[in-house]
Amino acid sequence: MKKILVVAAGLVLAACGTAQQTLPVANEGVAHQGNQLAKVTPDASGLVYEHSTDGGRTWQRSTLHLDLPTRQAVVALSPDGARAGVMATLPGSASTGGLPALFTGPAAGPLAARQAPVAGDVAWVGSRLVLVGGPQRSLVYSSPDGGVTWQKLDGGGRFNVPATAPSHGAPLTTADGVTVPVTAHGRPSTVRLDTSKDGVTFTKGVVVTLSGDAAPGVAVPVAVTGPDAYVVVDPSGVLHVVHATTQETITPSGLPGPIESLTFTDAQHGTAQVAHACTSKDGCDHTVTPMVTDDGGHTWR
Amino acid sequence: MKAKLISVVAAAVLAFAGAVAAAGPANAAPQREQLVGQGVDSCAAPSLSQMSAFWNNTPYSAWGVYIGGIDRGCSQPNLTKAWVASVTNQGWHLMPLWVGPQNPCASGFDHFSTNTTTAYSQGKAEAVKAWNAMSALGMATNSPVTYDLEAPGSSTTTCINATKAFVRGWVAQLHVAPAQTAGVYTSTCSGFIDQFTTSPAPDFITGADWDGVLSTSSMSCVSTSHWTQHQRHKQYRGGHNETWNGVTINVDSDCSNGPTLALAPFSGNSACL
Repeated sequence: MKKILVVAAGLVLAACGTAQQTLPVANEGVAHQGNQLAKVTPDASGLVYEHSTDGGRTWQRSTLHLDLPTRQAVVALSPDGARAGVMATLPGSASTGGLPALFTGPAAGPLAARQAPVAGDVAWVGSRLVLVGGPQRSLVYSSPDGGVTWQKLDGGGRFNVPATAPSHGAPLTTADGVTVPVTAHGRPSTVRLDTSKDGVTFTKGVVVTLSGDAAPGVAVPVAVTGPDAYVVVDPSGVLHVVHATTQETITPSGLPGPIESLTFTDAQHGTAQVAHACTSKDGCDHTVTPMVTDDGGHTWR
Repeated sequence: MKAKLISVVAAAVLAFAGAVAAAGPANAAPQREQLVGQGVDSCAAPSLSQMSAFWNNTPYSAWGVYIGGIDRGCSQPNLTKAWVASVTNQGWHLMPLWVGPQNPCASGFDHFSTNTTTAYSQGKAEAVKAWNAMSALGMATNSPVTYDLEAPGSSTTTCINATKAFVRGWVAQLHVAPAQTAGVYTSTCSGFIDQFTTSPAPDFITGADWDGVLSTSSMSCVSTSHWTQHQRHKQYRGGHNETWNGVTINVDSDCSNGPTLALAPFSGNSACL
């Protein structure tokens, strides 16, 4: 198969690629590590957790009971694919950031219910679990034992969080640890890409200045595209492509509406899941669309 | 009292159904008005410019604001009397929420007592605090206010009875003249909403049911025979980022067929009925 690699400011993408790895559905609750895939989908009794070790050809299913129904859940696989974590956000007010329901365990299952301090997003760093969330996504926690005990790493209390508190984006698993995007709200707002190799000690990273207005509580979406390479989705619609200390701002075409999240399922081939919503006064559908770019993020289809 | 309230609200809906949003006189105090339409709520009230960005050519007419309480998640530097006047003059409907002590079985919060007599008194005390906060914000005496009651993972009979007593106290105190309109927010499947029908019952509910369906008639786990007289708001989606006119805010999505704080009634999206 013909395979053309395109490198644009660190964003490694491909055109006319080989047959794409088939992901089960366009769903935010999907994680993959090599040939291992995990996904969560809501059902009447809670969540269905599915795990595949052969790239999605066969699946093992189990049910995770929830006290309250929800459609908001994320799943994370550890870098070695051995562990899985599922975080569901149960209906709760914006004042709380939603209520947590966490399950962790061997990726092949079974997953056990754990107590989490807040609802949010999780990622593994080795056997350690990092959690960000809470009011205005201002809190960061780390667990050495898969969610049994927790250590607060960043943020103040759970109540009366200051409007100036930075908001933490979904932690991104990288080749050598985890990256947490930290959005600081102001004029202009910025995103700092903090990294950690152990899930406990974080190093302040590159700062990207946004051109759009990110209100308190907003964690700007960031996607990881390779070693030390990221795409920051600016509220204004432009993309900031970051590689090490270099940055390029591009105006993409073909991306639908305001983007809620951008996740590369295969950065090498430029395939991503793009979540977007609310594009007109008459319509406000939340949609996740698989898309591909082969020119460094300038055009999408 | 409740029958009178319901008839007033229903009459307002009938009289103004299909009306176009219209702000009242510039100096009028916002008061209880009926809304059929879409809204959002956010942990912190946005700035005026951000509110404008979410007003122009968007589906939204209402904003949930957390006006106080010991368990409130976010500080509110923007939420002032002037802010309330400005946004309601623009046409916004506000949904004031009070986040006081929570169900004793809900982890991670300050709690009210498991003793039902004490819980009832605490409910009344929270209503007084909410009233004072609303007065300071320039909200009229008949303003609706919602108690944010987060769902516990599981609840015991003791906690359920305490919660019911607390809510009765909340409602009873708000109904003291000049009577306000008392609401309760909670997850629709927490098992509580249908137990809040004991007098004095809340005048309306805000049900958290994240099914993505823009309809207040469709609420999981809530009897179709309860809260039927334009007494429902529904939070149909949890926190997510939305961008309108270049401004991104993290919001929950709401649909209303119930009382709000505004200068005029508004019917903007009949799907919310």
